[in-house]
Amino acid sequence: MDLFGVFEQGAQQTQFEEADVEIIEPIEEFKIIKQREDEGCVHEWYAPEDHVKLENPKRMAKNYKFNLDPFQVQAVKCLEQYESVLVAAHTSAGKTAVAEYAIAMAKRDKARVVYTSPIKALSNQKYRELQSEFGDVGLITGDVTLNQNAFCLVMTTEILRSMLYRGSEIVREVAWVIMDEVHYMRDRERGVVWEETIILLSQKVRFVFLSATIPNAGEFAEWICRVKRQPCHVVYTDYRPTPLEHFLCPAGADGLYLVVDKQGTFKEDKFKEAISKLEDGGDKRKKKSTEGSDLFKLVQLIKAKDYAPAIIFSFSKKEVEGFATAIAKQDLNSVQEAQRIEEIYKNAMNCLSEEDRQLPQITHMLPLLKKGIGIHHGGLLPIVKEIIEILFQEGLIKALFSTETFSMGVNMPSRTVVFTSVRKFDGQVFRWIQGGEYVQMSGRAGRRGIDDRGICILIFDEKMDQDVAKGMLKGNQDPLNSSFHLSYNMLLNALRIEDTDPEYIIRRSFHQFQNERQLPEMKQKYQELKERTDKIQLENEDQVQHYVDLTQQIENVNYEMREILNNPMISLPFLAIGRIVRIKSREMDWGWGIFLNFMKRKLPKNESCVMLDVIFHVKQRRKQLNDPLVPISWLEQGEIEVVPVNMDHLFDISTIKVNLPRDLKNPEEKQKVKLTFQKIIKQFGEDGIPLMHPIKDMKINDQQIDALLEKKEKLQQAYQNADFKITNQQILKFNEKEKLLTSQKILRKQIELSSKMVLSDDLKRMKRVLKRMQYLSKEDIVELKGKVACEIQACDEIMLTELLFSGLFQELSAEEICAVLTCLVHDENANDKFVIKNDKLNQLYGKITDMGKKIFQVYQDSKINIEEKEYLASYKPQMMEIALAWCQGQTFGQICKSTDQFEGSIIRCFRRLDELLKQLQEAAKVMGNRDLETQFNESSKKLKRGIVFAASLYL
Amino acid sequence: MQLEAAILEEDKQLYLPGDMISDQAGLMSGQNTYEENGRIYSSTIGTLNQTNQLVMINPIKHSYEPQIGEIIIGKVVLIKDKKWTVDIGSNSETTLHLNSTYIPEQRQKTEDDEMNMRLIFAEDDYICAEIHSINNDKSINLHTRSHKYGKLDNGKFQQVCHYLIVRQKKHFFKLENEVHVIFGHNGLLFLSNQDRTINQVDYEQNYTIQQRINIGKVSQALTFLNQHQVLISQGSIEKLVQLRDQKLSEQDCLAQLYEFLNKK
Repeated sequence: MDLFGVFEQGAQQTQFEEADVEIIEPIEEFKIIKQREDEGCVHEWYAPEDHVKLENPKRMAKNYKFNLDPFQVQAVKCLEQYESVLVAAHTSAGKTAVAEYAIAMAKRDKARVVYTSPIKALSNQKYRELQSEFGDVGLITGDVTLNQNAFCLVMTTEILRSMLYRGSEIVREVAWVIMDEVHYMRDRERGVVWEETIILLSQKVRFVFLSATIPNAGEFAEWICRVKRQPCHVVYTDYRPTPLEHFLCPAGADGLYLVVDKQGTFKEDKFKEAISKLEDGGDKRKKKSTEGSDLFKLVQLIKAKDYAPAIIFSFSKKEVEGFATAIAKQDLNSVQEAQRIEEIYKNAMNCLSEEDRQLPQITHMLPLLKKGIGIHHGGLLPIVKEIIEILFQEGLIKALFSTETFSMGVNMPSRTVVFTSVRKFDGQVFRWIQGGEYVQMSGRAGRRGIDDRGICILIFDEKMDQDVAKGMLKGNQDPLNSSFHLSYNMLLNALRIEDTDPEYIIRRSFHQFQNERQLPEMKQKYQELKERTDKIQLENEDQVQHYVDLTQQIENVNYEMREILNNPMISLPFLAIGRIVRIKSREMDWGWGIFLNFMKRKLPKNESCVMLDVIFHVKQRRKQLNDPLVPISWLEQGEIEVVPVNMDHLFDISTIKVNLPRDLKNPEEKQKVKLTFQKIIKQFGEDGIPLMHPIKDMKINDQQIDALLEKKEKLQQAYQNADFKITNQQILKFNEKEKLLTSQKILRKQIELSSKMVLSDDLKRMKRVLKRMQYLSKEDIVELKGKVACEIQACDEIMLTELLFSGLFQELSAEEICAVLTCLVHDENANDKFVIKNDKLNQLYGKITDMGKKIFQVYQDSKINIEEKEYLASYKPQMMEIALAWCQGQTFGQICKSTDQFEGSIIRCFRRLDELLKQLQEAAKVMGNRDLETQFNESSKKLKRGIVFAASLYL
Repeated sequence: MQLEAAILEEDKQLYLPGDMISDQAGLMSGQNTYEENGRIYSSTIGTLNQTNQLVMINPIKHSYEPQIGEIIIGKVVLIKDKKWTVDIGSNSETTLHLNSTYIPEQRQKTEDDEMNMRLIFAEDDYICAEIHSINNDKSINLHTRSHKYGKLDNGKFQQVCHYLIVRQKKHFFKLENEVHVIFGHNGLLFLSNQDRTINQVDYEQNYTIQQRINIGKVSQALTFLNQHQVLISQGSIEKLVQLRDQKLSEQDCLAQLYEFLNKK
């Protein structure tokens, strides 16, 4: 049917209300038309109202060997109209087919196409895939540049961003930009790069976004439509070519329990059964020891039931290795398979030097692999990681132990996915795995065209709520929320270019867009509140207001007085055992009680407070249920309880003292106390118990007290004069109105905040920093230091620029430069007790921390909100000695022995270092210092050798 | 505000080529300096500029030295090898590659484009472009980032001393009297009635008489500023045009202009 005929008729218009408090001008105002149609998948599109669709699509740019799924058909239709599309589907659903179509179209039209992915390793794999399909493909990452004149370029998003700032022919020629894994935009650190790239690209560029099944895909598409002024389609599908079955595996018990079946129904009875099978008793240690054996049994089961290959996820590198070695007793492979593995492995390792082949990680890995067991985590050498990926794809690895990193990547499906834990450490706490994470990881299960179903097994060792389990197993992807923030590099680059400025980018950011989107809703809420407030009708409101004001004031005076009197030096002498006192805090009135004892208690930060033990009459309660204490009148039915209270809540001291019996535990004596008290109350009445007068009785000589007493008297006089005739109901009504008014005020403030430009305060502060440190002139012109900082992207640009201009690198040798720079690029957490043994390096690290302190001072003066400790801790010295040793010519084996750092971490650090050195050479050019440039070049040469820069197997 | 006078006034030391700047340890030599035996010497005539530990010499009178990101206006002198050679008044060769030019469609340049380069820019055309990069041999690559760069036509060019042009946030301006100015960092300015900041296929329009008068005024102001070596920015031009409208004498004009600029 004619899809786009519907488009004209049923056009709904999303209204953009005029803002109440208009602080910023909207970026280009135009109406967006939203349409929706479902044909085997959700298909929504957003278009500017004056958009004219293309007629007569050309012939198909690409034919597929297989029949396309409905969502793929939809997406391809959009592409043929030369319109942007966001494809949100599960990993296995076949998003790549859509991307390939866009590439084929670009090839047909002789236009360029850029494919960006979040991770270098992913780019390498994609490069290989696309090269076999299209031939003329290039690759640009921080490490390698291959065939950069190709029509199709694979690159990391960061590279595309810097091309946009610098201006490049590629940017001018690109017609299609394909962004893989675009939901990575929510990444706190790097997500902003995606937003910058999208904003800076020309409006004529069309996009293909591939993402996980994010629920707010429509919002994202609307943003694209708004900032790029072009139609953007959403093709969303929950469809999985191979359905998933979710099993629970209680730790320590036998068997698997099918909890979610192929149709996706949650079986509560099975769930309860599984929970009940869980070993009782909360002994954590015992559980740990059984975990290995659980896995052992499970792997056997997988082998027996032919569930292999399986990916087994855990959440730490140590756990991954531990589990793998625990399972290593089993052999999952046949002899032939083992032989093939050895052959492939040896072949791959031949590209390394003789020496490097003897590295423990490489020699130890082979026996494990031959048994069909693999390991995959960030600490591995890249080459080992890649060979394991290849072996896994070949089906030669039956059980792959992996960290979460494996869940993000190219098509590497498996039949079964096992989770060894239901909790994950996220840097602060061990929390439940989130639904989104579970979806991403479990999405690896089920190979298209091979398996009829994918299997997910969740091993759990603690009781789980049904809701928690449902949220996890049947959870949705988290919405894509902007993590936009400003960086100095972005500010400087944007200020430097004629056509942009930081405000331009901020206003067009997804962050701003999401913020403004809430506005209409908030405004409506505000309107409702206002109506509700107006509805409340009060008679003689003025008088009620006056009454409330007066009582409030009297109360306040009382509290002020108490504050002075409650100084232990003043009140304690009058607090003898048996003194009748009144305790009242702002939240709760405890009424009258009998003072028993006091003690001082130390609080953190050298403060102390005085606690009073007071006898109260409370409601009878059941102790085992932890009922709260509720004080009641002494005349009612209740029991006597000793309660410790803070002295700040002492409200009144009476002139009466009662004699207390010695043993208060005795019920008879308790009864006596009660009787005495009741007598007193009957004599004076509940409100008439005589009080100590601050001046007359307590003989306090304090001017403040005098003034307060006088004030109180006046207020009380006024209170009597006013002669209020007010009902309780009126007061209640009044209070309700007050409450509504305050929430109105808060909402109003929020609305104001939302309609302002986001991050405008941050922008001001950061500009202040840049101006103070001479990166910017007073007129926002980028100065020499700013131009240098523009070149640096691989680490903290301010720190490095300061170091460059301090002349530090001039005095250092090439090796030492590498060592110093590791502090800036190394970002993995390690133990705090690290000590640098080399004196020279220690001294150099000292210089970095000194510079850090200086910079922090400027940050603080400019009101930037960071902790000094946290900031300084971001410069980590752990890699310094390793880098020095490496540059001085030690072998990789030697340096690995000298440290507890993972091999993969070392390599990652060195590669980033090399990237940084390249940028530094550019920076030295800007500074006009040739010597420095050659020195950095020298460092780079020293660094670049051997296994550290061994080419990826995918290239 | 005359440059020489300014140097004297601020009491800045003038360095000649070969003058020692410093023998202090820890300093780094920057632009227009060289290092010998741990001492840093000047290689040109100029004043000292120190940023932290980096010392450089700001030359006072010199041919234009381009920096990455600057806007220039130049004249095409040669077409060769998919490149236009452009005269921007610099010592080094400046070229604009075919691939670095902007065309409305996002596509790769073809052989057809190469054959038709003269249709894009011909010899003796004036073009506006941005400095893209500087090669190791100091030769310069230009690029035209978007539609607003490119061939300039149907307006008035005005040459001034390039060092008088103030670095500003934007270099495409609309003055108070509706004259659009492009500040080329190399000292060439373009005055017209074309608003090149908006996306439009053709910028050229017919001039009204008032527009011609206004352009004349701005042009006169620029000549005046150049003659008296006053820094040229949007502010100084606008102020001077105002002052000239009041028919003040040359001396009064200068005095008031200095006052205005010092205040800023």
